Amino acid sequence: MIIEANDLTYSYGKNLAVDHISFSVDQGEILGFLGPNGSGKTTTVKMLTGQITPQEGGAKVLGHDVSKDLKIIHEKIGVCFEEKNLYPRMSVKENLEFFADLFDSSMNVDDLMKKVDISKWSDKRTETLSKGMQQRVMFARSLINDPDVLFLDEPTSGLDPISADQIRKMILEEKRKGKTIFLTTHNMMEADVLSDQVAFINEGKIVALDTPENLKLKLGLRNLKIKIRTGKKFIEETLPLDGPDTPQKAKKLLENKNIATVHTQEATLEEVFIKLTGRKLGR
Amino acid sequence: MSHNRVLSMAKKDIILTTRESFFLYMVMMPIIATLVINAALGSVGASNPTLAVYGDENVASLLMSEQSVDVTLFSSIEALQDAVMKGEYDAGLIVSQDPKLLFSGKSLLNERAILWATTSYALKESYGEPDTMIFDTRILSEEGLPLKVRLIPFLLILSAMIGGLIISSSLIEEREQKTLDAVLVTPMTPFEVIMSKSLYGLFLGLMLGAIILVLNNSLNSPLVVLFLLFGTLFTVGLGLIAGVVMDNITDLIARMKLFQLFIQLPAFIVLFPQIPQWLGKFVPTYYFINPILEITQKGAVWADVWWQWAILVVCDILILLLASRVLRKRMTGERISH
Repeated sequence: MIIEANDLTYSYGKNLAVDHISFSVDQGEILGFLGPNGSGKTTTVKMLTGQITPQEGGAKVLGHDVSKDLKIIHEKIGVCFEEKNLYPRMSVKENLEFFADLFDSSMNVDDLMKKVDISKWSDKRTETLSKGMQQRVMFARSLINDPDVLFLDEPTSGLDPISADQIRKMILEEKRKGKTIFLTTHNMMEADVLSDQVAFINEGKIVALDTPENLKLKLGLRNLKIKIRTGKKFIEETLPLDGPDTPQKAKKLLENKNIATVHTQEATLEEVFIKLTGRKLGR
Repeated sequence: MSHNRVLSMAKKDIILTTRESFFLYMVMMPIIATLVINAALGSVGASNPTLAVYGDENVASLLMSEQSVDVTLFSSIEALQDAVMKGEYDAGLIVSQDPKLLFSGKSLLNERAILWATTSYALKESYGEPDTMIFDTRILSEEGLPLKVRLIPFLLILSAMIGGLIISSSLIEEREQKTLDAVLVTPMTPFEVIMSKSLYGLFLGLMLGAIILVLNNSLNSPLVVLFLLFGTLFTVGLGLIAGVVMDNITDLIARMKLFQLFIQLPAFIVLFPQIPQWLGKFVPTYYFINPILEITQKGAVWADVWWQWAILVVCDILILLLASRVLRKRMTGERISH
């Protein structure tokens, strides 16, 4: 196991942010950590990356205890924060070079900028960049030490669809290289597309943990949608695939000669989440 | 501890300092203040000591040919003594069988040294005396420091404080902008961050202090550097505590104004000699500026000032222990970034 958490717990005063959660991530896997704002996603990342110490339970990253072996862990991980935290009065290149120095990394900063497509902003101060551009620079910074494990906290949050899609492609590229990725997001589509496993976190607790497919199959409703033309109008019938009398009803509808379309409808992760928690994933 | 990481962090801080007008203003302030004070008090470009001479005209003309002193001839001993007493001249030379060199109580130590050496040379040239001239030297009027010198402690404490202020504002800025979070998930440890910022603040404070002493012709002894180092170390400790405890830059500046009054109290007391001088002894910065004044202006040596150094070292140890306690508490709890 590359990441292993056992009974991780953390409170801010009386507010229990993370409540005895356990999970593990294998090498080369992406674990999507899904939950609404304030559900404990970022606190979990902070514990796993040694920014705060777990108050109960513990975790290992690359076999090292996050409470004891921080120095070794920090050499091998890359972290992309949710909040923009670049040095604003330094250029993109200066920011990356500074962090390369801290890691004593031999990675060529120019090559990295080229790879993440930020070369054209190389000499611009980061305070002059848009949110999307800064997000890319932060993503590049998380790769500066060629890490074995990437912690990405809402990496596409607030980005335009094109920038978000480019970041997702880069995440998948890192996965293909065998990197293990811990991805927190509130975007169910993103989690569905990128993750090997998805953990739903709500009010500090993991309420479900499985592959996206399994979660949707186990917990989501699957429907059959049949659209029938009646003159100039259409009638749409929706039948739950698991309903006891669905086969009979479907057979009867399909005998109709005026069928316009037939679709199966899968559950989304959001529907699964709502079913489990009674609340929406949106921010 | 990795020296490379500490140096990288310091280099980054230098880059950021030079790009922020607030930081630049802080760094330039004591240097500009020194230049303005020196210009206002007429010491810029007119730094020759002044000498009143009575007696042998040969000696007087020999002294007048010297570039290092400004000489004025007097027609009576009484008029010369009166002018020196009033502080109008740094010294008066009465040339007779037993020459007398009278120093004004307000003359500076380096000026006295120049005057003594120049007059000794002139007398030796005129009378062919042995290598070591012995003549009567006296100090007229009560010894007191001229205004220009009395302002030096203010500037010295200010430059040391700027070293501390740079540390605190840099730490607060990193916390506010969350850049410290990014640094602390690299192999750089909180201790290395603190070391880097402390070294930068100490270096900056020392450099500013040294510039101020040079501009005032007062960097004349290794002992001065010793007191400058330990005095700046005290403000570095204060800067570390402020950097961790204060929530934001506005908070820092607001509290600094109050705290500055306390830190600058010894300088204030030196500036106004009518205030009881013992009051300053209750403030640690007294043991930073007072020995520097004693060394540079009164020729004090190690035997005269060692006890003040010992008190300053104790103050340094106490403030650094307090700083490390505050830092440790933050680091083991929420760490310095939260």
